[in-house]
Amino acid sequence: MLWVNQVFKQVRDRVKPPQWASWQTLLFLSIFSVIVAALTTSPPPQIAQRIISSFGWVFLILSVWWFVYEKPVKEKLTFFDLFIGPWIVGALVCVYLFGTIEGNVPSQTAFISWPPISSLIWASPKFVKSDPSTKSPVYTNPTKPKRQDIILVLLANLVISCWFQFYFQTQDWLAANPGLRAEDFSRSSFVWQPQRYDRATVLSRGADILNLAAQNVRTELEGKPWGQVERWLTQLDQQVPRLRQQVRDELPRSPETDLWELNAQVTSAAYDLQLQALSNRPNSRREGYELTRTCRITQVGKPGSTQEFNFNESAPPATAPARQQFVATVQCGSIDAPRQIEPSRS
Amino acid sequence: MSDVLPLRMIIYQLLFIVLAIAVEAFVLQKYLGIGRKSSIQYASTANLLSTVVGWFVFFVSEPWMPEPLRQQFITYIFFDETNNPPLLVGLAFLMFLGTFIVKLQSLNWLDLILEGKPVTTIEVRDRTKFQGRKAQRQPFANVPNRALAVLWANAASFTVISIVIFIRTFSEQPELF
Repeated sequence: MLWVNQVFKQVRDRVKPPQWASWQTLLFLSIFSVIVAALTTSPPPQIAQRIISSFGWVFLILSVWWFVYEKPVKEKLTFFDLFIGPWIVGALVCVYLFGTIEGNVPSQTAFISWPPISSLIWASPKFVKSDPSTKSPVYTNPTKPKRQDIILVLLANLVISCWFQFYFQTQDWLAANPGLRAEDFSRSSFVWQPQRYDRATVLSRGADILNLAAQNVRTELEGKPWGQVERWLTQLDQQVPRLRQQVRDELPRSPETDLWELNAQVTSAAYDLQLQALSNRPNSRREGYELTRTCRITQVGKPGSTQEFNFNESAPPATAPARQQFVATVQCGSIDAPRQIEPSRS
Repeated sequence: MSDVLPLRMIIYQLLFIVLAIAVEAFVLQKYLGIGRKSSIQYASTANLLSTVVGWFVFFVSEPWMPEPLRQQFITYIFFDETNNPPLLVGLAFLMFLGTFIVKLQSLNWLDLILEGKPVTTIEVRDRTKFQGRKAQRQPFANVPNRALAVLWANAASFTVISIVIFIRTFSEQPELF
């Protein structure tokens, strides 16, 4: 049990404020503010709670700022002549300013403002000099070699925040073109994909699309009267977008789904409907794939079931001979092997 | 859901910045006769500032781009292909001019910040006047003109960067299907 006392004693020595104005005081103030904020219940918009928790954040930032500038901590945090304490403080400032306002997630603004704010924090001690007569800090222009350092650190941090912004830019582009995520980025000299491009998944998704399309066509046309089917086939241009939408709704949303585009055309006089899935942009040089499946729609005679009255005969009851009706039947072949579309050289 | 990180771009840009700083510091030192530390400071400030300005131009202009142009950017960035080589060449030329102007201005600003007053440039010796025997012994490199030095430095660093890009383009592994 003795070592527990030792641990407590060590913690208490570390944490107890040696004097009134020290970082431990600020840390306690911050914890106190957080507790008060948690206990405050006020109706929305919860202004009182927000103000108190802001105080908590400000005290926390100030206490950490003081803490990292303590001599032993500063030496521990200095690598290659660069003191990284300001970056820790800057991270807290950015999380407070941009992370807590819109919910508790560090937002894009938090990331891209973290390096410049940290470099400003790093540079701020160089602007302050203690006045010898009054022992109080006084604003001063930094000396010449320090000026160069400030400029270099500031510019380097701006470059880093540009890199962060580029990451967000690529995410925006990927969100705007959903099919882009399923493509192969190994040739790119800008981005890197940790997961290797999986061609099999992409092809199987294209096969799913074709199968689903064939199924939908079959349910729409099988057993329907021939006149209706012929009309459907002549209006194929209007039917294709509807078919695309149906297939899209039935499949789970994923970037591989958005990659494939469904086309349909009638290829022969005997009404062969060719369903085609393309995974290529029209004017791109990347190799794409094409999957096709052909469905043959033929008419079959089926004994009609409707009875018609025949008024020509005089003998009652007037019945009509069974009339032959023509309906359509759909037979779909299997999916052809994926054909690689050669890149078109313009 | 695969996450796409621009790590390659970061590494390439670090490489380019370091190479450019090294090359330009060397050229500035030889041309302007300033010390090694000073030339490295000039070169690093100029390069970092031009990088920041370049990124800034890109981010500001991206929302205003017409859609075909943006698609070309996207295919170039993600797939390393371009259907429009003249566009690429034009952009490279504009980048050269832009970085030259930014670097020249940044040297002036740096002097302003560091020294507190603008530094007067040494005047080019007037070659029209008769110099006698001296006229024969004034090769181009002896003229300590700051703008010329920045131009040479910029050209040298762009050459080195282009060499690295060529090496990378023509050493591509063939795609395995």
